[in-house]
Amino acid sequence: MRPTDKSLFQRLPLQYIGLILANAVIIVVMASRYGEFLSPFNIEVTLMSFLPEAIMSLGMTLVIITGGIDLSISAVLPMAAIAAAMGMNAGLHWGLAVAIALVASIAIGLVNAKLINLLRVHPFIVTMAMMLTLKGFNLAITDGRTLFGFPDPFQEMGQGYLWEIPIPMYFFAVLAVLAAVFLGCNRYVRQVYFIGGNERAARLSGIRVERMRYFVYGLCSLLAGVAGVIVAAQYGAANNSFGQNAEMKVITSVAVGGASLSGGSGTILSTLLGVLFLAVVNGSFVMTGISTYWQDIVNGGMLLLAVLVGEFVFNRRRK
Amino acid sequence: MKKLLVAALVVLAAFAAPACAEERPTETYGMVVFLKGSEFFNWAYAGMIDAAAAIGPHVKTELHGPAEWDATLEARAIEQLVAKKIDGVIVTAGEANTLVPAINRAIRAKIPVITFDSDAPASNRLCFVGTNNYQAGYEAGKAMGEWLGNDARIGICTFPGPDHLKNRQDGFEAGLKEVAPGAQIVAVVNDEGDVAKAETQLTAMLQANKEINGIFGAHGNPGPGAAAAVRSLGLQGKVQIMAFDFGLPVIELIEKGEIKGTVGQNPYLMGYQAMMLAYAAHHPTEIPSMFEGFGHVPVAGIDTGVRILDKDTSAMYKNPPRF
Repeated sequence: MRPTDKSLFQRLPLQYIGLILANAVIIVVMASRYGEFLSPFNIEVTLMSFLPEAIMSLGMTLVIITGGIDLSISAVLPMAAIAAAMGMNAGLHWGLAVAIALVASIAIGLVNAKLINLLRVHPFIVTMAMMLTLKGFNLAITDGRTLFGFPDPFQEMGQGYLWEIPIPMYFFAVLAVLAAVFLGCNRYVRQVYFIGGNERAARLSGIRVERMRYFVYGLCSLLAGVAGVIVAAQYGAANNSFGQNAEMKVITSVAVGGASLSGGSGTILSTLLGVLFLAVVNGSFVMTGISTYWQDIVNGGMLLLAVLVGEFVFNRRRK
Repeated sequence: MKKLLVAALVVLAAFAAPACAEERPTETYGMVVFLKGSEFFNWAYAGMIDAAAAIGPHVKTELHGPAEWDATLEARAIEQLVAKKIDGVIVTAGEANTLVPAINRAIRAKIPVITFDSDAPASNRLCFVGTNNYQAGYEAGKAMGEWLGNDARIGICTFPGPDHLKNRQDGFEAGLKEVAPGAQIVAVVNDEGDVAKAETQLTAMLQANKEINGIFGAHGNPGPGAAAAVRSLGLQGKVQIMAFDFGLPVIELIEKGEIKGTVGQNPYLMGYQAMMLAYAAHHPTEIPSMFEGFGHVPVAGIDTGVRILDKDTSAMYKNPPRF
């Protein structure tokens, strides 16, 4: 367990401080120039605008810690939205429709894991194939049409407020706390660090890598499904175009948070700081009115910086 | 010395007075699009900028929205603009229903929302500015009827689902029959909205139906696909193509003579009119308004019209504005 733990503890403090500073600087500069930036409404809109990505980033963090990747989430999101919508439009109780959508999402994740275990190819290829297949499927079953007209209690779940906070925020908070606690303390879940650090060593020491993959990819896909259901409730509609390029934003968040894409490191908190960074940058661009074309340049630059800092610290400490 | 001082004061006053009179608070209006960067919406934004300039230098514009075709990202942009307390939003709906909550939220915040090009009729938006798609198809059908007369045997390339495509197809049929009652629509193929698919589908269609002498592409993509299909079968000159919109590939094929005409919409006018309406809605006058708290906007949507463009009339669209 030593090499992974070392990299984990040695690289994280600087990443945390760097990210918190980066977020703080942007927020302070923006707030000093634009009074509306820290208005409760703008804070709500800024956080809500990246909520689906934030939910998906929880699962993606685990996948990336194991050294894997899951590109299929951007197809699972609309799939879950469409499945729930079809269920409701067919007259099912909305709770049942949501359950079906989530079970289908888990199934996609399990198929991903099964294929990765079976074919022994990189998860990149397997999940990309899954993404393409599923996107085609989403288009085929809807003909590109939008499904809408959901029952009120379902829409309330995405559009309602509790104590002046949007209800989806509560779902996210519960999921984030659960993910952070389990990844921080649960011995079984913490095996992901070992697998990502050195899969062979993990296998030799008795960790059931294949079985762990079912858990990790199933969870990642389930969370994409949760995001899909929430998006459907939020907008009162489901369409195959939802969630486009979401996988890239999610992977960027995890990497900006300091997780190594070769596996073995990363935490829920640092990932969430990464998501916050993307959300704050996006909100700042809209607030200033500067062309959003520049936004990707900032995000890409931050990603490069995070990787460079991570590797620099890692290498220096190792010497 | 005194004279000089007086003269200087007069000159100063002359400059200062109009500046004081025109000192108006800055207003910002946002355009929200999907497929940001596309030629069509750049034309619309050019119209918005010109309209804002015509109102006055205190009116600023911003272009927002995703580069992807994902209406949830447009909804996010609208909500962010509401949070920013923008003065007005003009938006083209990448998907009509998805934008309803965001548009209604803006209206509740007393921010006028005008839709253009693609409407969100179920929302509380104040007005829609765009093409009447039945009429656009009708004009295309009439032109085709005039080209080919009663001998016209037509294949249509479109895809099922969107209402605006169905309306264009219905209009085309009516326009064609109006001019050439003997004309027939022989086949309708599904291109799934894709240019490559249009080419394969139209190639198969032309081989199966040798009598076809005209193709109507009901949206922006089939035009170049139709030209490629006609070229590969060596049917140039025997099959006339009516495309839709003035994307650069279409204009180039019109200049080469491979496409005979295209249905030109007016995105510039859409942006211009929508900006004017948003401004009017944001500045109530004594003229009665249907919408409480907003200035008067027309009760009916504004049709920005179409024109069939050919070799002689399409050149100016070769240099689309960039942002």
